[in-house]
Amino acid sequence: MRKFLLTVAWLRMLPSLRQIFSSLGALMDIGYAFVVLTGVGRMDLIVKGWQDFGSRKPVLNLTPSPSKLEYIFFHNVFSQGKKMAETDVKQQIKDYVQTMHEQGILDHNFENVQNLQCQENPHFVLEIIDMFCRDAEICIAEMAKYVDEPVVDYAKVTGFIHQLKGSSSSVGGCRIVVACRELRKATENKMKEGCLEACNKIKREYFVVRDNLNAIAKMERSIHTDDAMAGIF
Amino acid sequence: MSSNNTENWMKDIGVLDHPSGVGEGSTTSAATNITALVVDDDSVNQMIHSKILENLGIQNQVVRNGKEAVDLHSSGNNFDLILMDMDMPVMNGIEATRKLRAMGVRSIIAGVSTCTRDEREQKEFMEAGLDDFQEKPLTTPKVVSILQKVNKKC
Repeated sequence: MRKFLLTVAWLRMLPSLRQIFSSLGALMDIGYAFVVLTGVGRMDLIVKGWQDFGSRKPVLNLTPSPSKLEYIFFHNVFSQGKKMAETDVKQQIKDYVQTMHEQGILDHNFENVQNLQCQENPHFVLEIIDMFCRDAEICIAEMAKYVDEPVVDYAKVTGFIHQLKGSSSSVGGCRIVVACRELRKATENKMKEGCLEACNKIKREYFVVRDNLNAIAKMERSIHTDDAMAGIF
Repeated sequence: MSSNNTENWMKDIGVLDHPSGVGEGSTTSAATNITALVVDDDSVNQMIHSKILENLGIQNQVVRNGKEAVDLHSSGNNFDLILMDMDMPVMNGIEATRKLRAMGVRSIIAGVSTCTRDEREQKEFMEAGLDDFQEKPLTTPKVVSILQKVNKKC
């Protein structure tokens, strides 16, 4: 009984299994109780194998090998849990993007990026988000540097505006695009104060978009983490 | 545009292989016989434009500015389609298009730029030798409409 209670408590600590547990509820506890009480003595080794997945180490290397009962049980439980979890996360991403539309933070161009993702390149959205954030921060830093100088090099600033506007537009960052237009206007009128103000606005809008894109990226990564753990079976 | 519609269109105009034979065993080839060059200085746009082309089964290369595009052609490369950004460092899209046409390049060159361009600049871009102009960001339907021109030209 003590072993049973310790085992269940230990397994509940694993984050990915928690997701499965929350979905399957009491059934899981009964299932585990059955497996433990039927004398499956390698629960701790199975737990270790799953911990290794959580830390992205490759696979299960248990000795002795799990019994057929253990293997079938965890395979079925994990597969069902994984499918339910992935569907939930995809719906969460969809709902989140919809909220971003409604708040005017992202436009439909972000969905165009999502639609380009396919089985052959399942990390495309993540790659675009990472690349956009990296390049945007460089652009914004350079713009701020040139605008801060005593004599503003408006041509250089314009070059960075163009770059940021293009990439922001492609990922649906419509508010950054609007802020870029304001900065472009200020550079055309050669107004340093206007440029400073517009630059700050770009930074604010970028941080909002970045935080929301990072939230989407986190959800995307959780799908891929589940895929990695499914590789055990 | 659904992937089925795109694929059907491409089969009808012969840029995507039809299934060989009849029946359940036949499969369609994912490749087309069109090659493309993406000319853009922005990494995000490079990746997106390349991915659009890749998903359409079009082999493509990416360069960062007009000079690299010109150099690529000078070394004997040819492409059916060139997606040319307007504002780029080293050599912009207008100059690169002029040079390519002067070299005798007969590819379809589609200019790609943001919608708030100066009309005068856009006109200059078209007059440099573009066959088409599309506003950024590029999408699959926009590229398909450009490809229809490639097919007509062929």
